[in-house]
Amino acid sequence: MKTEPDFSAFLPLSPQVFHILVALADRDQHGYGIMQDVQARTGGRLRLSPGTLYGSIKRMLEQGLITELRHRDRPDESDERRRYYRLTPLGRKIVKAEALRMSELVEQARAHGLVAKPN
Amino acid sequence: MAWSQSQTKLFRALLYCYPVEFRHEYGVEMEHVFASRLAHEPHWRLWLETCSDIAVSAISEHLSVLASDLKHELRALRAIPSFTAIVLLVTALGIGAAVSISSALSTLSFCARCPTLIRSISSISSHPILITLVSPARCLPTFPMCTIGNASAALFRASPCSCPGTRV
Repeated sequence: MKTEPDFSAFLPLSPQVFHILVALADRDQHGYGIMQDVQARTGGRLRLSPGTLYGSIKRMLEQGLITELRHRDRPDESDERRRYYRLTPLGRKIVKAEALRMSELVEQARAHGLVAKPN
Repeated sequence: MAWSQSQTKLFRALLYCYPVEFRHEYGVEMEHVFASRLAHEPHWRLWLETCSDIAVSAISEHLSVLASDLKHELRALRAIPSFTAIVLLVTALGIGAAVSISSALSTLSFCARCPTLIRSISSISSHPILITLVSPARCLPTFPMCTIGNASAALFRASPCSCPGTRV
């Protein structure tokens, strides 16, 4: 019987890693695209500079959370000069586990009256 | 345009703060990202963010490379335990020998005032280093007594110092 892998070693994710994984959840993107996506989603509160972005990408590639696309797998309208990244099945499971963990934290805060109940 | 190119060149120069592997892997991409941001963002804010980012992330990358190298070395050493044992033994012997010799030579320089001991050392060992160290030029004229307090002193206990005020 196949057992579910233990994700606890990956959690909690840093805000940068979490947002990069979320940015790659629905489409493949290059570094600058990820940066713009994160900035737009967070209303400019989280701005990824090149060093932080590519340092995180390097570690996520090593951990198998994302993968770099080969030229033939890239989107049709892709920029030839840029490198594109895709979320792996492991990366998707990890980001889901992190989202679940955070939602449980919010539920606990809500139970103590610290967060308003949703309408 | 020329101003933007100069700034991109400056950013390329700053990439030398990163480890060479990281620079080769991501340097061109980082430069593209910087150039894209340069076209859309205020330059002063971009440079402020870039400089602080490089200061933090370059150190982090260097530490990451160091940790990775150490892990690799430890794995390699674990794979050949006999070689590891020999390396550790030789290193331990080397450190032990260096400490003992240093300690013995230090003691000899303190005892240089005692002629009996000098003679006894000369008779025990004809090693040129020992003879040089017990030469009068090394004497400490104000040192009140000869004190030998380490393991190397056992070599000379057979013929103790007879100088007034000398303790072995």
